[in-house]
Amino acid sequence: MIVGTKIDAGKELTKKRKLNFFTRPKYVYIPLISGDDRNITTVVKKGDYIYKGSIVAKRKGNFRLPIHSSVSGVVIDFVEKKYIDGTLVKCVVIENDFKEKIEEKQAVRNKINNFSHEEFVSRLQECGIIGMGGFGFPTYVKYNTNKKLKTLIVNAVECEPYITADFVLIKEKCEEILEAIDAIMEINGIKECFIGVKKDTTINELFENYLGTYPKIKLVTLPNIYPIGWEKNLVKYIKNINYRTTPLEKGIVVNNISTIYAIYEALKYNKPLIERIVTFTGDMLKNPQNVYVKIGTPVKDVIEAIGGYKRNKDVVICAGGPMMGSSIADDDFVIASNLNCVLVMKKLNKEKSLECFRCGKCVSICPSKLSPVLIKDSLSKVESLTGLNADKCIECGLCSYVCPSKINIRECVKEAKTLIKKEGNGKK
Amino acid sequence: MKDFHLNIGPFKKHNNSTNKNMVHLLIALLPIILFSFYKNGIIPYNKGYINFVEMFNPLLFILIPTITSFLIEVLYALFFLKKKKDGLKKYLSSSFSIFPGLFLGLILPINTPISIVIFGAFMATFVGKLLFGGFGNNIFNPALIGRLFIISSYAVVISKNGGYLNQYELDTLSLATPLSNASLVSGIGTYETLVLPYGSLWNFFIGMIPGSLGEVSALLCIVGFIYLTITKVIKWKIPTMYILTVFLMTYMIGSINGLGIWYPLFQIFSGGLMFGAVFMATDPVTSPTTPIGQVLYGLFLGILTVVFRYLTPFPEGVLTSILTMNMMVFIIDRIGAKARFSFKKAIIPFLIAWFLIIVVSGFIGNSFKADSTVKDSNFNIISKEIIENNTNYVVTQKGYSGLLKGNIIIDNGKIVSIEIIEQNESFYQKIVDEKYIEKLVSYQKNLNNLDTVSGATVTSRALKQMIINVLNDYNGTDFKEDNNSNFQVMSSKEENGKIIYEVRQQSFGGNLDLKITFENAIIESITVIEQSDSYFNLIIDNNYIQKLIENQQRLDNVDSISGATISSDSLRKAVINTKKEYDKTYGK
Amino acid sequence: MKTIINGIKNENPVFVLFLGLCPALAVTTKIENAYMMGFCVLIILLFSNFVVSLIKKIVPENVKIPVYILIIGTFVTIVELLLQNYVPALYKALGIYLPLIVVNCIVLGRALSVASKERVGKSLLDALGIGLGYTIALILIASFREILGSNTITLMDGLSSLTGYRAIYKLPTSNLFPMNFLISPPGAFFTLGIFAGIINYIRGEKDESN
Repeated sequence: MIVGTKIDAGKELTKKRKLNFFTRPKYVYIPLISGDDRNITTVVKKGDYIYKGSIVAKRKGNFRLPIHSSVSGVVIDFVEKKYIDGTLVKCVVIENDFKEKIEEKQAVRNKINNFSHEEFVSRLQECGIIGMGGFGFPTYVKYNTNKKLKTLIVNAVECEPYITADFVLIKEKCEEILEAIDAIMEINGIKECFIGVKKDTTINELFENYLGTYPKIKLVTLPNIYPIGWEKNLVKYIKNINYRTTPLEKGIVVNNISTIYAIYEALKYNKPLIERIVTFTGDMLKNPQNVYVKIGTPVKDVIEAIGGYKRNKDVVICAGGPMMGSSIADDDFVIASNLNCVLVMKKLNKEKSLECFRCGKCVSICPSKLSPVLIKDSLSKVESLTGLNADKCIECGLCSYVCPSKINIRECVKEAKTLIKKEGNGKK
Repeated sequence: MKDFHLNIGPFKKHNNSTNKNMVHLLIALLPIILFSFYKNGIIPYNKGYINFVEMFNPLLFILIPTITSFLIEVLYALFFLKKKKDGLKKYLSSSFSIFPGLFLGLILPINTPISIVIFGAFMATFVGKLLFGGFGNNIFNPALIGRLFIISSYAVVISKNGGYLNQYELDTLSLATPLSNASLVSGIGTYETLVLPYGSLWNFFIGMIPGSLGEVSALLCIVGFIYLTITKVIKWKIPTMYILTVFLMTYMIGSINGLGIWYPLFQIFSGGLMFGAVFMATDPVTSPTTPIGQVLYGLFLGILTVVFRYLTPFPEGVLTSILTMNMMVFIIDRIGAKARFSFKKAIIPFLIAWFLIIVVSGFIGNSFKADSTVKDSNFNIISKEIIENNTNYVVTQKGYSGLLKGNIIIDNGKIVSIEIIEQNESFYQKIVDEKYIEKLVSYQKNLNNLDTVSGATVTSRALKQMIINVLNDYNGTDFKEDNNSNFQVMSSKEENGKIIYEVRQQSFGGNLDLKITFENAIIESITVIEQSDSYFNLIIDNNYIQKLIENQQRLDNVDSISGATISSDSLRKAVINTKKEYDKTYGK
Repeated sequence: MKTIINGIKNENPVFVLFLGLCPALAVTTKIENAYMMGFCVLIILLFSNFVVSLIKKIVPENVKIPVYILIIGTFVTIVELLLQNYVPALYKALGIYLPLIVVNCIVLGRALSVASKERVGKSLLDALGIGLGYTIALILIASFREILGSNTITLMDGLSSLTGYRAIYKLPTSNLFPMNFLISPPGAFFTLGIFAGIINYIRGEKDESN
């Protein structure tokens, strides 16, 4: 039984529109951040000329992923720009020369399934492929193991409302995606693959057309419940397996379908992750649509290019989907590699939250089986917080969604998470 | 000039709200309120017991405490929380402010004077809710706190006014609520003694039995439960487990004593269990939030209710068990939260619960069985037929050289015929010669004074024992004692040649204090010093005391007054016991 | 003077320090019992504080508690015997709580914390203050419980054997009063809670305004 709830989709705003392209920004601001780590060393300095796809910075800590430039041009400056979580982050400013020059032309591979396992992993790492569904976990880590991988699950369900980036990608590049999946399976010796889709007819028809060629890939219809796209739920529903920390324990790899396409480009063209599709949607945009943008493009410019806002006052701009995204104080932030949606809506009436009357709805709806109301009550006692497993929260936002008293209970659980982390760090 | 705002959290919210919950709850309560108006207002009016204005008493009874608790919360919000107009409106519309008073009106006996009801509503809101920190912070169910205050302080006043019975029931029923009747019945009771006086089980189900306004109708409570579960307002696991546990335990108790399925149904339809389980135990603030916690809560509530009903003097255990479990909610929630990850952590409480269910039911069931088995294991009832006031016994008793089988007919409490169907006694001729059977009939009220037949001692003793055992089973009590524990001689003195006794006999609503004056071994006068029985006016109206004095030599033949059976019986027993006391002290 | 006021207001043994609650809740069903109990505690406090502060210098550290209990026990027994002889009805009414004054936290606590450290005069004043505070607290609780709980005011009943004077007033009954609940033990806790709440709230506000 998958725990969750049906949420009204809001996808009609952008589903039927064709994909638009905004690939000629004047300046790009490449954010020097990888995951949570801002401890990045740059390999370029002011005034250097840089090619499209070249490395601008390297990361020192775990999960070493290089950061690439998305245009060719001159490095102008290093400034602080707003990141998609609202904080300021150091960025490399590159002035676009609109020539799209690549450093060394690499031969395009005809067949992409003749990599060895180690080559595959290092290719993924060099190209900086991360999970494009929103979390941004480095993909190469999922494959960097000696353990026998048995199953590949591809998440094409895009359960968060309003976002249609994956949907549009599949419509354009279905063949390539399937080719990539086949290659991955061959390289890593994976025996079976499941693609999870919703009951939508257009995509399924599209898949059905090509699936004849790939007998090992199967389509699975998933119920229309909100956090079905979460790893744990996918594995539980498709394979009926429960794992403890990562699906790797049971030999399963879960990837977002946009990530699969990024892997395709990395294998075939050796192209790093420098461009992606982002859904620009919401009631307050004149023309909501999906846009193919370069990493580092200021969001302000993209919105202007696609038509602008319906109105300027009392709007909320949010980076990420409506459930898991966070609102930013203004539209002067940059596209990052794990941003999948920009949502512009009317300002919500700031209802004052009422007293919690312990209805228990947040407890019964949490997909991670937490008890948010009890966590909220024990914020002052950290020992009990670990007992309540507050660090397992995936921040899906369902508890705040369903609360009748409109309490921002997800924030309390987030606070509990930071308290536990601090306590853990303090103990070390 | 762009003006962006910062909002927190998910930007889509579900459309449920506290207001909607309150409205759904009110809708579920509406049929119950209307039914109580029908049963306690319209029916007595139609039968002519009350006038038109009094017909609306039930509605007023519910409305007044609701308004009181609402006003108290308004005052609290204005003066303590210092809220202004808009904040006040919002606070009041979402703090469930009317519910302590509303529930209180539905669970109090209808004859509670209005001043006490208002006081109770004040206590319920103030002590039960506001002192703990206002809405969302209380530990105990506020309506139950209010009722607790009232019952512990004013029980006598309420029962003087008639207790739970409305005007119509006062006249037609001579009993109290079903469970207080059950506690007065000897042993575990039978269908005839527990259910028949109120009609049939169907009456219990739809609610035409005495009780407080909201408690009686099981059917409407179930309808409300279904409605509230569909609209996802209440925690449905709690009433389900609660009622199932009580049903299971009373079924076990009943089947140990050979009672059918009607017994657990009787137990769950009476005593306000349905109403308490659906509306009081599921009060969101005071019940657990985790699913496993709710199951445990319901289980333990059921166990506690059964324990309180059978092993304590409270006839209805629902109030005390809910208040007790309210204290444990914190621990239960902790267990439930941990058990969401690994069920093993909750195994121990479940095992304890199951253990208690089985052990407690077995213990209670057996204690009833032991009481009812006759002290004589040589005695057996083969058949017992009851046709109106006639009871026809066919019994066996171990005699000298075999079993004696007898057919004894009891009419209106007196043995009218004894026939020995089978016997293998060697010396039975002596019994026939001495006309012992006839003697047994005439000495039936004081068999201890009847001697055995010499030459057939064992047989005559067995015959006597057989009659004693039959009478024991018929009366359900040890008739030798004649309720000595309920009778007490307070004082006795001699004055002007007359002996004056002041005695106390336990009666319906409390103690009955009488002053009985003997002159020359004859009762001259009986005066009532103090009584707290609800229907004592019937005793006075029927000149019962005069009747007792006139028939003092044959008090066993005096009938009781219908409508005041227990009171008249207690009066009669008091006079009988005083006479015995007199005979003991002053000789025949 | 200040010490006395301190004992009544700021360090009231029942409402602020919450000491000696057992007799405070048990004997306050009648006003007479309450003030007699308070009076006994006052007398015993006075005497024991007096003696303890006289001998405080010569008692070794490690036998302080048994010695003080011995002293207190002596005075309690004296009071007990006097009461038993002259007012037996009251002695019966106070019951077990009279001998329990020996281990009453107030007496022993004051002996340990005040009398063993201060001069004789100060100890006596402190005893007077605490004793008065205790009596006043008990009278407050008892009047609330008795007036509302059983509709009577018993000013002098058991003492009538001494003074030959009886003063029991009965108040008119109504539907609401008497409230039997207040006479029972839960009612005692309830009354204590209400008074403690009000008095501490007032003290809290005074602190804030200071």
